[in-house]
Amino acid sequence: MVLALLILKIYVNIVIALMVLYIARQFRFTMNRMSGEQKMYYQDIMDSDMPSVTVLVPMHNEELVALNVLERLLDADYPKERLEIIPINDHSEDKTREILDKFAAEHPAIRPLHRYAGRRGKPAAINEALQRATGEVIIVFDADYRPPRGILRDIAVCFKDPEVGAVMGRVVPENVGANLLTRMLDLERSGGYQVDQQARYNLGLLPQYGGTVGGFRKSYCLHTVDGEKVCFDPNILTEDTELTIKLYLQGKQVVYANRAECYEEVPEDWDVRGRQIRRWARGHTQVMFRYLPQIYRSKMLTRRQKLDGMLLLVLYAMPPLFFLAVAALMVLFFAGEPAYATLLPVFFLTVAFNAFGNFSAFFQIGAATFIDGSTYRIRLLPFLMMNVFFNGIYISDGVIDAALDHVSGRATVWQKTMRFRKK
Amino acid sequence: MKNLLLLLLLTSAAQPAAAYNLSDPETAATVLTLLTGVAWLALLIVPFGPGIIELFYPRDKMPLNINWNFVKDPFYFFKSFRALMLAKSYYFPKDSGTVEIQLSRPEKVDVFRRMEGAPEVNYPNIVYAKETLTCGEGSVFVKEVYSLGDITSGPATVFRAAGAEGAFTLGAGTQITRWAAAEGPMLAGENVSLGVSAASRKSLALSAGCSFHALFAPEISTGPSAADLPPPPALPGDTELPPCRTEGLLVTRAPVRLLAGTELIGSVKSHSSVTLEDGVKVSGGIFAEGDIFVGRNCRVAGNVFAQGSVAINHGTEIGAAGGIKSVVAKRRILLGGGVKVFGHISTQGRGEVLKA
Repeated sequence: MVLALLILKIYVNIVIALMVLYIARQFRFTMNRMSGEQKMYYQDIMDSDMPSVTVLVPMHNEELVALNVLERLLDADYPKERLEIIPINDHSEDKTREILDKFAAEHPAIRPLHRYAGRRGKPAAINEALQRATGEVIIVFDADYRPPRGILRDIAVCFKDPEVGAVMGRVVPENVGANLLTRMLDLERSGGYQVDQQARYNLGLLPQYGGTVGGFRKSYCLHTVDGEKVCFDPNILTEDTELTIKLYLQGKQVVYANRAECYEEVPEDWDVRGRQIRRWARGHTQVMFRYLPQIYRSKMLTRRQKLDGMLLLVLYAMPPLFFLAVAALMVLFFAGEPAYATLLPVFFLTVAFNAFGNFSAFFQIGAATFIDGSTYRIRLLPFLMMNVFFNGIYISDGVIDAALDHVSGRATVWQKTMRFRKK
Repeated sequence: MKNLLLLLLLTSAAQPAAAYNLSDPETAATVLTLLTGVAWLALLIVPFGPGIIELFYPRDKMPLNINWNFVKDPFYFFKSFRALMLAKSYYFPKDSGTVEIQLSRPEKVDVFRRMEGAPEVNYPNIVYAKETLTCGEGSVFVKEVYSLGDITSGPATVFRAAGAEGAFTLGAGTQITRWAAAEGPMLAGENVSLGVSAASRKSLALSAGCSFHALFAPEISTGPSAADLPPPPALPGDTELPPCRTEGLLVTRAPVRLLAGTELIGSVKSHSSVTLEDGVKVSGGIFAEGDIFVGRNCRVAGNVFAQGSVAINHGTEIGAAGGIKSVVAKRRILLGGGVKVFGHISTQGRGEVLKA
């Protein structure tokens, strides 16, 4: 009994230490963004010899949005002879196929890939598209995105640096005003990109490739599986996080382009949002199981990068660890350790409120809205407290899914995020 | 009506309080607990107040603005101003005169067929020259200048912004506050300050002492009179590339030094500084998290990009004729004499051509 209580106390203290570490990390990022030196992105480079680019747009039943993204890509300011667009029709049952074929007939740069066999899902679809992609640089947009004219150039130019393996642009929610959820997601995105990603880039840590509004260098990412050159493991639901870690382990870099901004559609429905973060948490934790020891042992990463990489991978495991710590506190209380139960929950809640559970800490969001010059939306900040618990529950579900995946070796099924754009 | 509500509120709150005997310690404690609870709840709810107002009466619910049509174009301001002028030129007099036009606000335009200005003249209006524009020493152009032909400025002229469809010659000590652009060659005399950006479709020649932030031309060159910088000293931890022909990418965390005569078929990336000694040839680009120093008579076919400063010495060429490459540095760019850059030079700090 005494040993069990001691273990619980140690566990609770470890969780507290981890949370304090996350607070310190995010506070450091915020201070860097507010008053530190900002690292320059490659956008000022002008080069008449831009790399050849293949833009991949995975689509599953995207008739509502397919037209917009293709029109925007055709209008892009990028040398036409160096640009190829592959919209991937991934087992669509609506009119996506017809829309893509119509565009392909009118525009030779568009070469659709229709997939009706094999495994469904973004990683498998991109793997297949890579077999026919001719570009040296692969840029990925989700189908609901609307890329501005100059974004391909802004994304592709960083690959002039031989060390860059991937780049991530900034995602900006377009349907902000739809409801309270979209407004909160808008705040989260601001904090996550304007402060968190930029600060990690400034500090030489691990900015993350996010799987859309970004690109990667094909030659650094392909490897051979069963005689076929592939980039992603279709069992990993967050192929972007896996690619980020794989590149760093090879000694390559992921860079962040704050200027490469693109609108996206965020979920307008709590249920859809819950499923989305459950998938993210599951995929992220899959990557954690696979790569955490490799990061620790890597000779390609500095100590600071290793610490940042490990904190990045453990991030989604924090909510379930937190809930377990709360349970441990209750056990300690009933076991006659009231000091833990009366003092620490206050501390826990403070830490949770400030540091995690949301996709970026409150002070990061405050700093981000300040930098963005969004004067009034910052007033919604207290509402994000609700998200701490909402996200925490779905993230915990995702982490449990990943743990079961890890133990059972079962195959994952890709779930697409529902679209809300009106016809 | 408001006062009536307030009165009702006060009396209803006072009624039960009066019914309590607050001298009784138990009752007083209960009331204190209740008041503390109410205060705690109020403090909890107050932070949500502004958010609730924003939610029901939104003032900031539009998505963050993204410029859909932004593309990198060194002639952007010139093109925009030219389009404004040409659109209004229908109202301009045939020869010379002053006319008022509506831009973002009413503006006066001084129209000249061929302008030959005297020294020390202050021009308060937009200036439009149908043929050529020549101004005397110390002239000040408070507003933009546009010429359908050449522009030749005397020494110490001050331009806010100026664009020429022909050649643009800037006299020694001329200052540009915002931008200068020319379809023909641009020639900057000694100690010219080239403002935020200067661009030419043909060539851009800089004399010693010129300063700049961003330059663009198929060929940017510095005059022979400019001085040189000494190379940074070699340190024991430096990665050195010996003077031979090497192929591949050189990526390292340590400072890199390419010794005199080295020929690298590939690119260089250092998390620290990069030094090219005299006569080094690099077929790709040079990237550094620190500073980049390029010695005399080097050839770099690709881009030069530094998070620190860039210094380029005499006789070095970056890029090649017919293509566009860039020299970009966050902190500072220093150019020696006889340097050629085919394309673009840009710094967030200050760019300068060294004085003799």
